[in-house]
Amino acid sequence: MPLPEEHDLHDGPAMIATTPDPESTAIRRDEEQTLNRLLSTMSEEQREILVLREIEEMGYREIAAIVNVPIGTVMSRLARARAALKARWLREPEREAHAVR
Amino acid sequence: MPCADSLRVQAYFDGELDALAAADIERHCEACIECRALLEDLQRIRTTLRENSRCAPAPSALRDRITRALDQESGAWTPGRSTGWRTAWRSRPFRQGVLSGMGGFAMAAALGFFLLVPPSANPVLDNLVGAHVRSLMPDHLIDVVSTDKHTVKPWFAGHADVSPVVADFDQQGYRLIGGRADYLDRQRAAVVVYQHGSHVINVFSWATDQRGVPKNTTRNGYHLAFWKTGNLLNCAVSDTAWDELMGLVRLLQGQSDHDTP
Repeated sequence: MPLPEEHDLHDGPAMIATTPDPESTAIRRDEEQTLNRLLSTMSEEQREILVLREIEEMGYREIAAIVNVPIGTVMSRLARARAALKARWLREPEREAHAVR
Repeated sequence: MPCADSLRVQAYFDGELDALAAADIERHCEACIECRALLEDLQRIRTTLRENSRCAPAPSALRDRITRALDQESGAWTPGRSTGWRTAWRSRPFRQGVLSGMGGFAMAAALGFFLLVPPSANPVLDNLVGAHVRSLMPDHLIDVVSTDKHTVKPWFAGHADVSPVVADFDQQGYRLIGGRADYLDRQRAAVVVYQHGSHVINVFSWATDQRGVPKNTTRNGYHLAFWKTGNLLNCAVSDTAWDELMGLVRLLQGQSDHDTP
Protein backbone atom coordinates (compact mmCIF):
# COMPACT_ATOMS: atom_id res chain seq x y z
CA MET A 1 0.00 0.00 0.00
CA PRO A 2 1.46 3.37 -1.00
CA LEU A 3 1.99 6.07 1.53
CA PRO A 4 -0.87 8.53 1.65
CA GLU A 5 -0.04 11.12 -0.95
CA GLU A 6 -1.90 13.74 0.93
CA HIS A 7 1.02 13.98 3.28
CA ASP A 8 3.50 15.05 0.64
CA LEU A 9 1.09 17.49 -0.86
CA HIS A 10 0.64 19.13 2.47
CA ASP A 11 4.24 19.24 3.52
CA GLY A 12 5.71 20.38 0.23
CA PRO A 13 4.32 23.88 -0.14
CA ALA A 14 4.31 24.47 3.59
CA MET A 15 8.02 23.80 3.85
CA ILE A 16 8.80 26.00 0.92
CA ALA A 17 6.76 28.75 2.43
CA THR A 18 8.37 28.61 5.85
CA THR A 19 12.02 28.16 4.97
CA PRO A 20 13.21 31.41 3.37
CA ASP A 21 16.23 32.84 5.11
CA PRO A 22 15.51 34.49 8.45
CA GLU A 23 16.51 37.93 7.28
CA SER A 24 13.97 38.16 4.44
CA THR A 25 11.34 36.65 6.70
CA ALA A 26 11.98 39.40 9.19
CA ILE A 27 11.83 42.11 6.56
CA ARG A 28 8.62 40.65 5.27
CA ARG A 29 7.06 40.56 8.70
CA ASP A 30 8.19 44.11 9.27
CA GLU A 31 6.61 45.24 6.03
CA GLU A 32 3.40 43.46 6.86
CA GLN A 33 3.20 45.06 10.25
CA THR A 34 3.91 48.49 8.84
CA LEU A 35 1.26 48.13 6.18
CA ASN A 36 -1.21 46.86 8.72
CA ARG A 37 -0.55 49.84 10.95
CA LEU A 38 -0.82 52.30 8.10
CA LEU A 39 -4.08 50.80 6.91
CA SER A 40 -5.50 51.01 10.38
CA THR A 41 -4.98 54.78 10.38
CA MET A 42 -7.01 55.15 7.20
CA SER A 43 -10.77 55.59 7.10
CA GLU A 44 -12.90 52.49 6.85
CA GLU A 45 -14.16 53.78 3.51
CA GLN A 46 -10.67 53.93 2.05
CA ARG A 47 -9.59 50.63 3.52
CA GLU A 48 -12.67 48.98 2.13
CA ILE A 49 -12.13 50.18 -1.40
CA LEU A 50 -8.46 49.17 -1.40
CA VAL A 51 -9.36 45.69 -0.22
CA LEU A 52 -12.09 45.26 -2.81
CA ARG A 53 -9.91 46.45 -5.67
CA GLU A 54 -6.47 45.15 -4.80
CA ILE A 55 -7.12 42.06 -2.73
CA GLU A 56 -10.47 40.87 -4.02
CA GLU A 57 -9.59 42.11 -7.50
CA MET A 58 -13.06 43.40 -8.21
CA GLY A 59 -13.92 45.67 -11.12
CA TYR A 60 -15.40 49.14 -10.66
CA ARG A 61 -18.94 47.97 -11.34
CA GLU A 62 -18.75 45.23 -8.76
CA ILE A 63 -17.34 47.63 -6.21
CA ALA A 64 -20.04 50.19 -7.05
CA ALA A 65 -22.70 47.54 -6.49
CA ILE A 66 -21.28 46.34 -3.19
CA VAL A 67 -20.45 49.72 -1.70
CA ASN A 68 -23.61 51.12 -3.27
CA VAL A 69 -22.14 54.29 -4.74
CA PRO A 70 -21.89 55.48 -8.35
CA ILE A 71 -18.89 54.42 -10.41
CA GLY A 72 -17.54 57.96 -10.43
CA THR A 73 -17.35 57.82 -6.65
CA VAL A 74 -15.58 54.47 -6.81
CA MET A 75 -12.94 56.05 -9.01
CA SER A 76 -12.35 59.14 -6.94
CA ARG A 77 -12.45 57.24 -3.66
CA LEU A 78 -10.00 54.68 -4.98
CA ALA A 79 -7.65 57.41 -6.16
CA ARG A 80 -7.82 59.11 -2.75
CA ALA A 81 -7.26 55.84 -0.91
CA ARG A 82 -4.24 55.00 -3.00
CA ALA A 83 -2.80 58.46 -2.58
CA ALA A 84 -3.41 58.28 1.16
CA LEU A 85 -1.64 54.95 1.47
CA LYS A 86 1.29 56.21 -0.55
CA ALA A 87 1.54 59.38 1.55
CA ARG A 88 1.50 57.38 4.77
CA TRP A 89 4.11 54.98 3.46
CA LEU A 90 6.37 57.88 2.48
CA ARG A 91 6.07 59.33 5.97
CA GLU A 92 7.54 56.15 7.41
CA PRO A 93 11.05 57.18 8.54
CA GLU A 94 13.06 54.39 6.89
CA ARG A 95 11.21 54.50 3.62
CA GLU A 96 11.57 58.12 2.68
CA ALA A 97 14.03 57.16 0.02
CA HIS A 98 12.04 54.52 -1.82
CA ALA A 99 8.40 55.53 -2.12
CA VAL A 100 5.98 52.65 -1.69
CA ARG A 101 7.73 49.34 -1.36
CA MET B 1 -0.34 68.90 -9.22
CA PRO B 2 -1.87 65.77 -10.68
CA CYS B 3 -2.50 65.55 -14.41
CA ALA B 4 -6.13 66.04 -15.42
CA ASP B 5 -6.05 62.56 -16.90
CA SER B 6 -5.05 60.83 -13.67
CA LEU B 7 -8.43 59.15 -13.14
CA ARG B 8 -8.35 57.77 -16.64
CA VAL B 9 -4.81 56.53 -16.07
CA GLN B 10 -6.02 54.81 -12.94
CA ALA B 11 -8.92 53.28 -14.88
CA TYR B 12 -6.44 52.11 -17.49
CA PHE B 13 -4.28 50.55 -14.79
CA ASP B 14 -7.35 48.81 -13.37
CA GLY B 15 -8.25 47.38 -16.75
CA GLU B 16 -11.49 49.34 -16.98
CA LEU B 17 -10.98 50.99 -20.34
CA ASP B 18 -11.97 49.59 -23.70
CA ALA B 19 -9.21 49.01 -26.24
CA LEU B 20 -9.62 52.35 -27.94
CA ALA B 21 -9.49 54.42 -24.74
CA ALA B 22 -6.60 52.31 -23.46
CA ALA B 23 -4.56 53.02 -26.57
CA ASP B 24 -5.30 56.68 -26.03
CA ILE B 25 -3.94 56.57 -22.49
CA GLU B 26 -0.85 54.67 -23.58
CA ARG B 27 -0.11 57.44 -26.04
CA HIS B 28 -0.75 60.04 -23.35
CA CYS B 29 1.64 58.33 -20.93
CA GLU B 30 4.42 58.41 -23.46
CA ALA B 31 4.28 62.19 -23.25
CA CYS B 32 3.25 62.75 -19.63
CA ILE B 33 5.88 62.22 -16.94
CA GLU B 34 3.36 62.60 -14.12
CA CYS B 35 1.14 59.87 -15.46
CA ARG B 36 4.07 57.54 -15.98
CA ALA B 37 5.06 58.10 -12.37
CA LEU B 38 1.45 57.53 -11.34
CA LEU B 39 1.41 54.17 -13.12
CA GLU B 40 4.57 53.16 -11.26
CA ASP B 41 3.04 54.21 -7.95
CA LEU B 42 -0.14 52.30 -8.66
CA GLN B 43 1.88 49.18 -9.43
CA ARG B 44 3.97 49.52 -6.26
CA ILE B 45 0.87 49.97 -4.13
CA ARG B 46 -0.72 46.92 -5.71
CA THR B 47 2.36 44.77 -5.23
CA THR B 48 2.74 45.83 -1.63
CA LEU B 49 -0.90 45.16 -0.81
CA ARG B 50 -1.04 41.83 -2.58
CA GLU B 51 2.20 40.56 -1.10
CA ASN B 52 0.96 41.40 2.35
CA SER B 53 -2.66 40.67 1.77
CA ARG B 54 -3.25 38.49 4.78
CA CYS B 55 -2.84 41.52 6.97
CA ALA B 56 -5.70 43.30 5.26
CA PRO B 57 -8.88 41.45 6.11
CA ALA B 58 -12.18 42.81 4.86
CA PRO B 59 -13.81 45.07 7.43
CA SER B 60 -16.65 43.24 9.16
CA ALA B 61 -19.40 45.55 7.91
CA LEU B 62 -18.24 44.85 4.39
CA ARG B 63 -18.12 41.14 5.01
CA ASP B 64 -21.74 41.29 6.16
CA ARG B 65 -22.80 43.16 3.06
CA ILE B 66 -21.14 40.64 0.77
CA THR B 67 -22.68 37.72 2.62
CA ARG B 68 -26.11 39.34 2.40
CA ALA B 69 -25.69 39.94 -1.30
CA LEU B 70 -24.69 36.31 -1.79
CA ASP B 71 -27.65 35.07 0.25
CA GLN B 72 -30.13 37.11 -1.74
CA GLU B 73 -28.58 35.90 -4.91
CA SER B 74 -28.67 32.22 -4.16
CA GLY B 75 -32.44 32.28 -4.37
CA ALA B 76 -32.76 34.39 -7.46
CA TRP B 77 -30.02 33.01 -9.61
CA THR B 78 -30.78 30.07 -11.85
CA PRO B 79 -27.58 28.22 -12.55
CA GLY B 80 -26.88 26.96 -16.00
CA ARG B 81 -28.57 29.73 -17.88
CA SER B 82 -25.83 32.20 -18.28
CA THR B 83 -23.21 30.94 -15.86
CA GLY B 84 -21.17 29.73 -18.78
CA TRP B 85 -20.72 33.27 -19.96
CA ARG B 86 -19.42 34.25 -16.67
CA THR B 87 -16.99 31.51 -16.01
CA ALA B 88 -15.24 32.60 -19.16
CA TRP B 89 -14.85 36.07 -17.73
CA ARG B 90 -14.72 35.73 -14.00
CA SER B 91 -12.96 32.73 -12.76
CA ARG B 92 -13.66 33.07 -9.06
CA PRO B 93 -16.93 31.66 -7.80
CA PHE B 94 -17.02 34.32 -5.12
CA ARG B 95 -17.09 37.04 -7.70
CA GLN B 96 -19.66 35.25 -9.76
CA GLY B 97 -21.99 35.37 -6.82
CA VAL B 98 -21.41 39.01 -6.13
CA LEU B 99 -21.49 39.92 -9.76
CA SER B 100 -24.70 38.18 -10.55
CA GLY B 101 -26.40 40.31 -7.94
CA MET B 102 -25.61 43.45 -9.80
CA GLY B 103 -28.31 43.43 -12.42
CA GLY B 104 -30.69 45.41 -10.28
CA PHE B 105 -28.33 48.18 -9.34
CA ALA B 106 -28.66 51.34 -11.29
CA MET B 107 -25.19 52.29 -12.29
CA ALA B 108 -25.44 55.87 -13.30
CA ALA B 109 -22.09 56.40 -14.84
CA ALA B 110 -21.93 59.65 -16.65
CA LEU B 111 -18.41 58.90 -17.78
CA GLY B 112 -18.26 59.30 -21.49
CA PHE B 113 -14.92 57.64 -21.91
CA PHE B 114 -16.02 54.33 -20.47
CA LEU B 115 -17.66 51.57 -22.29
CA LEU B 116 -20.26 51.63 -19.59
CA VAL B 117 -23.41 50.55 -21.24
CA PRO B 118 -26.33 50.36 -18.75
CA PRO B 119 -26.46 47.92 -15.87
CA SER B 120 -25.11 44.71 -17.03
CA ALA B 121 -23.41 41.72 -15.61
CA ASN B 122 -22.50 40.46 -19.02
CA PRO B 123 -19.28 41.92 -20.37
CA VAL B 124 -19.58 40.02 -23.65
CA LEU B 125 -22.78 41.86 -24.51
CA ASP B 126 -21.13 45.16 -23.71
CA ASN B 127 -18.14 44.26 -25.81
CA LEU B 128 -20.35 43.33 -28.74
CA VAL B 129 -22.10 46.68 -28.66
CA GLY B 130 -18.79 48.46 -28.13
CA ALA B 131 -17.21 46.64 -31.05
CA HIS B 132 -20.18 47.46 -33.25
CA VAL B 133 -20.03 51.14 -32.34
CA ARG B 134 -16.27 51.25 -32.83
CA SER B 135 -16.67 49.60 -36.21
CA LEU B 136 -18.79 52.52 -37.33
CA MET B 137 -15.91 54.91 -36.73
CA PRO B 138 -13.83 55.92 -39.73
CA ASP B 139 -11.53 53.17 -41.00
CA HIS B 140 -12.62 50.66 -38.40
CA LEU B 141 -15.35 48.82 -40.18
CA ILE B 142 -13.59 46.49 -42.51
CA ASP B 143 -10.19 44.86 -42.75
CA VAL B 144 -10.90 43.01 -45.94
CA VAL B 145 -13.12 44.85 -48.38
CA SER B 146 -14.89 42.51 -50.73
CA THR B 147 -18.32 41.56 -51.88
CA ASP B 148 -17.02 38.15 -52.83
CA LYS B 149 -17.42 35.45 -50.21
CA HIS B 150 -14.54 33.55 -51.79
CA THR B 151 -12.27 36.44 -50.84
CA VAL B 152 -13.68 37.17 -47.41
CA LYS B 153 -13.91 33.60 -46.13
CA PRO B 154 -10.23 32.63 -46.72
CA TRP B 155 -9.07 35.95 -45.24
CA PHE B 156 -10.35 34.84 -41.84
CA ALA B 157 -8.07 31.79 -41.88
CA GLY B 158 -5.06 33.98 -41.11
CA HIS B 159 -6.75 36.68 -39.08
CA ALA B 160 -9.34 35.12 -36.80
CA ASP B 161 -9.53 32.06 -34.58
CA VAL B 162 -12.71 30.77 -36.18
CA SER B 163 -14.10 30.32 -39.66
CA PRO B 164 -17.54 31.88 -39.92
CA VAL B 165 -20.32 31.43 -42.44
CA VAL B 166 -19.81 33.99 -45.20
CA ALA B 167 -22.47 34.52 -47.85
CA ASP B 168 -23.79 37.30 -49.99
CA PHE B 169 -27.52 37.97 -49.91
CA ASP B 170 -27.50 40.97 -52.18
CA GLN B 171 -30.72 39.90 -53.86
CA GLN B 172 -32.48 39.70 -50.52
CA GLY B 173 -31.20 43.14 -49.57
CA TYR B 174 -28.22 42.17 -47.41
CA ARG B 175 -25.05 43.01 -49.26
CA LEU B 176 -21.76 41.49 -48.14
CA ILE B 177 -19.28 44.34 -47.84
CA GLY B 178 -16.35 42.76 -46.07
CA GLY B 179 -14.85 41.21 -42.98
CA ARG B 180 -12.89 42.12 -39.90
CA ALA B 181 -11.29 40.47 -36.87
CA ASP B 182 -12.20 41.73 -33.39
CA TYR B 183 -10.92 40.67 -30.01
CA LEU B 184 -13.86 39.25 -28.11
CA ASP B 185 -14.28 36.76 -25.31
CA ARG B 186 -10.52 36.22 -25.24
CA GLN B 187 -10.16 35.24 -28.85
CA ARG B 188 -9.98 36.72 -32.31
CA ALA B 189 -13.60 36.68 -33.34
CA ALA B 190 -14.55 36.83 -37.01
CA VAL B 191 -16.84 39.68 -38.02
CA VAL B 192 -18.67 39.60 -41.33
CA VAL B 193 -20.07 42.96 -42.33
CA TYR B 194 -23.29 43.38 -44.28
CA GLN B 195 -25.07 46.43 -45.50
CA HIS B 196 -28.83 46.61 -45.42
CA GLY B 197 -30.19 49.86 -46.82
CA SER B 198 -28.31 52.52 -44.93
CA HIS B 199 -27.65 50.24 -41.97
CA VAL B 200 -24.54 48.26 -41.20
CA ILE B 201 -24.96 44.82 -39.68
CA ASN B 202 -21.96 43.26 -37.98
CA VAL B 203 -22.15 39.49 -37.60
CA PHE B 204 -19.73 38.28 -34.92
CA SER B 205 -18.72 34.63 -34.68
CA TRP B 206 -16.58 33.12 -31.96
CA ALA B 207 -16.00 29.73 -30.42
CA THR B 208 -17.83 28.83 -27.26
CA ASP B 209 -18.19 25.78 -25.08
CA GLN B 210 -21.39 27.09 -23.65
CA ARG B 211 -24.46 25.04 -24.44
CA GLY B 212 -27.24 27.59 -24.43
CA VAL B 213 -27.70 30.58 -26.66
CA PRO B 214 -28.02 34.02 -25.05
CA LYS B 215 -31.40 35.69 -25.42
CA ASN B 216 -31.79 38.30 -28.11
CA THR B 217 -31.59 41.70 -26.56
CA THR B 218 -31.40 45.43 -27.21
CA ARG B 219 -28.72 47.68 -25.80
CA ASN B 220 -28.23 51.38 -26.34
CA GLY B 221 -30.56 51.16 -29.30
CA TYR B 222 -28.67 48.30 -30.93
CA HIS B 223 -30.31 44.94 -31.42
CA LEU B 224 -28.34 41.80 -30.73
CA ALA B 225 -29.54 38.50 -32.19
CA PHE B 226 -27.80 35.27 -31.20
CA TRP B 227 -27.68 31.82 -32.72
CA LYS B 228 -25.30 28.91 -32.83
CA THR B 229 -23.61 27.09 -35.68
CA GLY B 230 -21.94 23.98 -34.31
CA ASN B 231 -19.63 25.28 -31.57
CA LEU B 232 -19.66 28.79 -32.96
CA LEU B 233 -21.76 31.40 -31.28
CA ASN B 234 -22.96 34.08 -33.68
CA CYS B 235 -24.32 37.49 -32.90
CA ALA B 236 -25.75 39.94 -35.41
CA VAL B 237 -25.63 43.54 -34.17
CA SER B 238 -27.31 46.52 -35.79
CA ASP B 239 -29.58 49.47 -35.28
CA THR B 240 -31.82 48.26 -38.06
CA ALA B 241 -35.34 47.05 -37.19
CA TRP B 242 -35.71 43.68 -35.49
CA ASP B 243 -37.49 41.93 -38.35
CA GLU B 244 -34.88 43.14 -40.81
CA LEU B 245 -32.08 41.94 -38.58
CA MET B 246 -33.82 38.60 -38.12
CA GLY B 247 -34.17 38.36 -41.92
CA LEU B 248 -30.39 38.18 -42.22
CA VAL B 249 -30.15 35.79 -39.28
CA ARG B 250 -32.60 33.39 -40.96
CA LEU B 251 -30.68 33.56 -44.24
CA LEU B 252 -27.41 32.83 -42.43
CA GLN B 253 -28.96 29.98 -40.50
CA GLY B 254 -30.22 28.49 -43.78
CA GLN B 255 -26.77 28.92 -45.23
CA SER B 256 -25.03 27.15 -42.38
CA ASP B 257 -27.37 24.16 -42.80
CA HIS B 258 -25.98 23.80 -46.32
CA ASP B 259 -22.41 24.43 -45.26
CA THR B 260 -22.05 22.14 -42.30
CA PRO B 261 -21.01 18.63 -43.25
